Parts: sequence; C-alpha cells; structure tokens
Amino acid sequence: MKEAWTQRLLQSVSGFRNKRRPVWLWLPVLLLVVLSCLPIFYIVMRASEVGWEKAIGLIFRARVYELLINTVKLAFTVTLVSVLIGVTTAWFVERTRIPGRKMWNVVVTLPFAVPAFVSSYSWISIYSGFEGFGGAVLVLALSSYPLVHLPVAAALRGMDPALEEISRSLGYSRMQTFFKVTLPHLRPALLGGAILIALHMLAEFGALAFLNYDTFTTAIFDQYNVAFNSASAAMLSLVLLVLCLVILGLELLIRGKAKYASVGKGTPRKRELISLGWMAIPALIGFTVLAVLAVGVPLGTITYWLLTGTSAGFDFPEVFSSLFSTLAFGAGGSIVTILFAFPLVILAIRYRGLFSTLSDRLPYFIHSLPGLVIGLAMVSFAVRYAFPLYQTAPLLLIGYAVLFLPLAQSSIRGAMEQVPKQLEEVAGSLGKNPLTVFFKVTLPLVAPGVGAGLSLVFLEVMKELTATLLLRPTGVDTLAVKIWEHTSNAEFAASAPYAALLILISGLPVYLLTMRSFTQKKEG
Amino acid sequence: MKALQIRHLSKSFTSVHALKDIQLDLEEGQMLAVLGPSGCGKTTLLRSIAGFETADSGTIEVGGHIVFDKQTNLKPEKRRIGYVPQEGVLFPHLSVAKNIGFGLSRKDRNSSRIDEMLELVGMKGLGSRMPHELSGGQQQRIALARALAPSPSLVLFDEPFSALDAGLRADLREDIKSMLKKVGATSILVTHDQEEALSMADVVAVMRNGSCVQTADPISLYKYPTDIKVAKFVGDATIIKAQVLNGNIKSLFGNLPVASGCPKDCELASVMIRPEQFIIGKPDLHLPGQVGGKVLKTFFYGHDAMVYLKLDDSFGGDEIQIRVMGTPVFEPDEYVSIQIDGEVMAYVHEDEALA
Repeated sequence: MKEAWTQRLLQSVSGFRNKRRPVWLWLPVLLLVVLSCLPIFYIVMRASEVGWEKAIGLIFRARVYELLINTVKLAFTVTLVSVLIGVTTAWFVERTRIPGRKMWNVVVTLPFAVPAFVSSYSWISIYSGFEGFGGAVLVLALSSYPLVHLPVAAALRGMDPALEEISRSLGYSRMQTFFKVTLPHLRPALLGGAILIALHMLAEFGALAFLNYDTFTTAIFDQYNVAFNSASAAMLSLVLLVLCLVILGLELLIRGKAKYASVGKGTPRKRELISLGWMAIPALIGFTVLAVLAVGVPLGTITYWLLTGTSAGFDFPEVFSSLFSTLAFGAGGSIVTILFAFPLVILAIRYRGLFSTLSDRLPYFIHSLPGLVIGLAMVSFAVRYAFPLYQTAPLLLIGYAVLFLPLAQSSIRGAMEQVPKQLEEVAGSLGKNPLTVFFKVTLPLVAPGVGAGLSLVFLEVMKELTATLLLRPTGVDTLAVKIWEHTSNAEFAASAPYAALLILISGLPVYLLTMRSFTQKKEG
Repeated sequence: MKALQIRHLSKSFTSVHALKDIQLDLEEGQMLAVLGPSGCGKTTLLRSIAGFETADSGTIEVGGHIVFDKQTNLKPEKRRIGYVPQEGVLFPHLSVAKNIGFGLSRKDRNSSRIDEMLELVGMKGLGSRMPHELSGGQQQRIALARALAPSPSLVLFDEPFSALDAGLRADLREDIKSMLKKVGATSILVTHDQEEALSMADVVAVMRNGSCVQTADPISLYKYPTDIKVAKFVGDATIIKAQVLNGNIKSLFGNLPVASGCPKDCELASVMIRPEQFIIGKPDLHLPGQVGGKVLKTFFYGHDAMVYLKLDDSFGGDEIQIRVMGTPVFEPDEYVSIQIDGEVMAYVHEDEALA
C-alpha cells in the first residue's frame, strides 16, 4: 500500500512517466481542487474578518458544546437504529423464504423516494409531539436504513454459502454462525452504510428544522439566515468540518485492519433459502409495521392533505412552475455532473499519478461535507469575487455537481472498468483518432453506467434542499423549496401537492435502480 | 462398526430425481470416492450426509449413530462431520490459526492442537498468516486442517482439487492421502475426475442420474465395470461387437476368454477391451489371433501414446484406439498386427450402449 503510494508520488514528481495527460483531462481536476478548498478559505476569511481572538471565542462556548452533544447523540442513535433495521431487513429478504420476498425487497427501499424533510413534515402535521430527539431518531432512521439495507443485502447475496456451511459443520448453530461468520463478512458493507448515515446526519437540515431539533447544521443556517451572523456561522462550520473528519478518520481506522477480500473466485453454489415456518408471521408483521411507518405514514398524510386541501384550492400555475424548475435543475444538474465526472474517471482509470489519485479521492471527501457548508462557501465567494454569478442557475448547477460528483463517478467508473484498454488501442490501430475512438467505442460501452449515474444524480438534485435554498436564483422555487416554505409556516395542506409530486417523480429512478440491483447485482 | 452406512436414501427436487435409493457402506479409516459427471447427484449426496440438505427418505448412520431417518434429522452442527469445499473457502477475516481453531473448544484452542494440525498439513509456523496471503494449495491444506482439528467421525471433500493446476493437484492429492492415513480419518471425496478417484480412494462409487450404479475397489472397477457406460467413464475403452459361446468370444481377434460374471452365451455382445490390453507388432498374418491394420495417426502424451488404427477390411474395417507405453515407433500408413492380452468384458448388446 505504502509502496504504491510512494511510487505514484515519484511518478508524478519525476514528470510524466506515463502517457501525457491532455489539458482537458486535468483542468477539471484543478477546478475540483479549488472548489474543495473553498470551505476552508471561507472559514479562514470570515475568521480574519472578525479577528482571530473573537473567532476562537465563538468556537469555545457553551452553545457549541450543547450543539456538539446534540449532533453526536443524534448521529450515533440514528446510525445504530438504521443498522439494526437495515441488517434485519436485508437478512430476511436475502436469506429466508418470507412470503412476498421480491415485493418486500422493493418496499423496504421505497423510503429512498421520500426525502427525510418530506416525511418529517408528514409526521409533525399529524402531531406536533413528534418534535425533539425521539421524533428525529424515528423519522431519520426510517428514511436512512435503506443505506444499510442495500449494501448489506448485496454482500449477503455475494457471500459464498460454503462459509456458513463450514461453520455449521464445525459445530456452530445458525445463530452462532451469523455472529461468528456472517457478520464479520458484512462488516465492510455495514461500515460503509453506517458512515454514510452518520455523515448524512451531520448534514441533515430540513427534517431537523421541522422537527425542532438543533444540530450544527440547523444552527449554522439560523446564524446565517436569521441572525445574519456570518462569522458565527463560519466558526460553527469549522467545528462541523472537524466532526466530519473525525468520522472519516474513524472509518479509516476501523477499515484499515480489515484488508480481507473474498479468497476464492469460483462461482458460489445457489443458496438454499431458509423456511421460516411459524416465524413467518412475526416477520411479516415486522415488515408491515416498517412499511407503514416508513412509507405508509408519509404517503397517507400527504394524500390526506391533498384531499382536504383540494377544497381550499391549489395554486396550479405555481405548482407547475416549481415542477418545471425542479425537472430543469434536475436535468441540468445531472448533465453538468456527468460532464464533470467523465474526465475525472478517465484520468483515474487510464492514467496514474498524483492527479489521478486526487481526482479519484477528492470528490468523496467533498461529498462528505455538509451541503450547507459548501453552499455557504460558494455564496460568500460569489458575493465577494464573482458577483455576476451570485444567485444564478450556473452557480447552483456547479454546486450540485460538487455535491453529487461521487455518485456519477462511481457509476461511470464501474462501467468504464469493463471496457478494456486494449479495445481502445485496437480502434486506434485501425486508424481512428482518440476522439472518434471515445465516441464510437468507449461511450457506447459505458452508456449504461452513464444512464445510472444520470438518474442517481437527477434524483438527488430534485430532493436537495439546503444548497438550493442558499444558491438558487431569486424567484425560482423547486418543489423541495416550496415544501420547505409552506411547512415552515405550518401550511401543511399547501405543501401537499409539492410533496406528492416530489415523491412521484423521484420514485421512478428509485424503482429502476432497485430492480436493477435485484436482478443483476452479484458482488464478487 | 461401520463408519458410514446409507440405506435407501432418496431425494427429488421439483422435477428431477436427485438421489435414487442410494446404498453405501464405508469402513473406518477408508476413503470413498463418489465419481460421476456433473448433475449426477453426487454433490446432493454429500450435502445430505453433511446435513446441508434434507433427503426425502432413507437412513444415514455415521459412526453407529443415526443422523438421519424418518424421525431424526440432526442439524449439521450436531453431526461431527468435517467439510472441505471446492477452493477451501477459509474464513477471510480470521488468521490461519484461528481458522484451524474455529471448531475447537476453548480448552483445545489453547492446547497444542492448532500447532499439531499445522504440522500435519506441512505448514508449521504459518499460523499468523491471513488467508489471502496463501496460495491456492496452501489454502486447501488449511481447509483440511480446519476440518480435521475437532477429530470428526467423517470428512467430506467436495471436488477439492478442481481449482488447482495440474502439477499442484497431483502433489496435493498424495499429501492429503497420506495426512488422512496418518490420523486414520474416514473420508468421502466427490469428484468427476476418474484419475483422482482411482488413485486416491479405497472404494469408488460411480453415480449416474441419481443412482449408484457400481461400488467397488479401484482395480475391480477399472477391470470389471458393470456396464459399457461405466467402462467408458473410468477409462479409455475399445468396444467391438461379437458372439459369446461357452465363455469364449469368437471375434476378429480370435478366441478371447471372458471375465467371470459376464454372460457365457450371447448371440450379440458388446466387448470392452482396455487400450493397454492390445499388443502391437510387426504383421505376421500366419499366426492365429492376429489382426492386421493400418496406422492412421498417433497422439503422443509423453508417458504414453495413443495409436489410432483402421482394421483391414477383411477384419471388419473398424477404427480402434490403442494405448502404447513409451515413445511410439509407428508411422502413419504403416501396417501392424494386433493381439489381445488377458480377459475381456462382455455385455449383452444394447443399441444405446454403442451410441
């Protein structure tokens, strides 16, 4: 590992030992480096404005401590509950003959289509008592557990059945085998999902604002938007960034030791599913309760408000205009993101060196930063150095691209790794120039990956609230923004059509992605 | 006491008969090879013995204890049967020593048992390695050590060598055979490789379409296969048609003695001759029992060679193959004489048998 690193470093320092990278390939990386440094610059800039002493005073005070406790408590509890739910659902769907297995596989991933701030809107519109810690854990765990369910289900599917059989033959019961063999095997998938949830909890804004639970993110927004205190917002952002780094470091620490990959490479035998017997009944009840809480309540509430709200009458032109801007931003954002991601992936796969490593890793780091912090940093820079960009669509699209780059990257990368370099070389040897080769050979082969990346980013952009609130052009409202505005004023019925539309249009990509994972994903 | 006794074991999947009335016996310390083409049910048999799959009917007794019958169906963890799957499948999150100690009690884990097992499989001092740091053959050795560590009453091997390359395979076979003998373990090896079965096992059971068609020691199996299909499956065979009269075959090769157990009189029989029973020489058509033919081609394999011949039209004009030890000295189109040495097998002729 270390050797590979030093070698790469040497290669990049000693000039271009490999092929020369074309300018169009490394310019986006440079841009990415600049963008990822923005939050740091932003914090330093604000701190020097108010004076370092005051800045330090803003960090070490009782309020920050209180926010720290709140944030950590929430992130930990939600992650823990989501892991418990996600592992359980994944195990039942992948390992047992639970009646309606295929249906449940789709149903348990449906919460993906319901943004957390929409489901929290539906819960508090039922009863305001859901505000506070308990409600926040309930709502956020119910919308986060698919992040554990999906990777764990894939890992369970890819696991060689012989591992568990050997454990049984050596005298361990099914339960003991689960803890001694299966769980360790699931660790990387489990850890990945858990880290993602913990980072999401640091970044979550809309749901927590509705549920009236203060974390760093909501406090930063208040400082910036309500109290107009940018210095305080910047210092809180600094603590939040440190918290992100702690979580990322924790991941490295835990994962570092676990270097194992699966040893054999033969095709695992088809697995016998476990018959549940009478246990099928409690399992079915559990799944039903989960579906009702995670999907039924939001959908039911929205339907209720839709029906009661119809009498009051909706502002249809406004609904359509925000639907249009949501779709437009979704399409624009996903296309910009893909265009940005392509050179990064090509650089990472076809070339080696420091730049490639950076282009590969940096977006993941940025993705773990809260959208609010990135939004704030971009706003303050636009105001100061690029005022014409401030509150324009291009700035918002760049913001989306920075936020969701890793999603596009991993989809394209997966497809790109299936395209052997020799194929491009053969095309070159047949007299085609590199650009023709790219359009005639590479692009058609990676098209499915690009499609998956597009729909994934499209989905995320449409659900995005925080950065959109900060960066959107004046007067342009997306569905998410509309829900936010109406719900903040307790106008639940007025939010309903926007919420319904948002769930409807984001449900489709979710469905497509889940079906894809169920039919073809087989992790080796 | 039998180490393993299986009676009337049957199992069917939704449309296929996976196991049909299987009967098997195995003495303590012996190795049984279950040989058959893929899909013959041999893996289902192995998994039913281990308890990973449940048969429909029949009984399985291991070391005098019933593990499966109408009333009983012991869980895999209660059967004390070791299992070595294809490619070993070590626990990737555990070190070699922890893999071996996996099935041991806490007390045994702290004793010298793990070191003993490491020494047995010839991997002393490698206990702290992780599985991905081992070669394929080493992984297989550790998988064996892991299965043997709790002293199981029976060890099952599921095509354990199929993922290894040829040279390694031969070495590992010998090593494993001697390791099993050293600890006196009783074992079952499932394989589709006849050479593996014949060279390793004390008893070979040939399976076909869910049935056990013949169970015998390797030499008897090779010399006296129960039908033409088994004959062809366990080795190369030349089949000719002939009449059997009074225990002798009137064939184009002259009078040939028929092995005991074959039909003594039969109008039309299929006669099975092993390639090494043929003797090729310079043509001397005056001697009895000699047939002439022309060499078509030879395939040279190093330790031996396969000679393809076309018999003279006066002898039927068939094409036959003959195994010759050492380097062949025959050129294409050369004329040779052919003799047959030893007993041959004869079966009542069935049309499909020749297909």
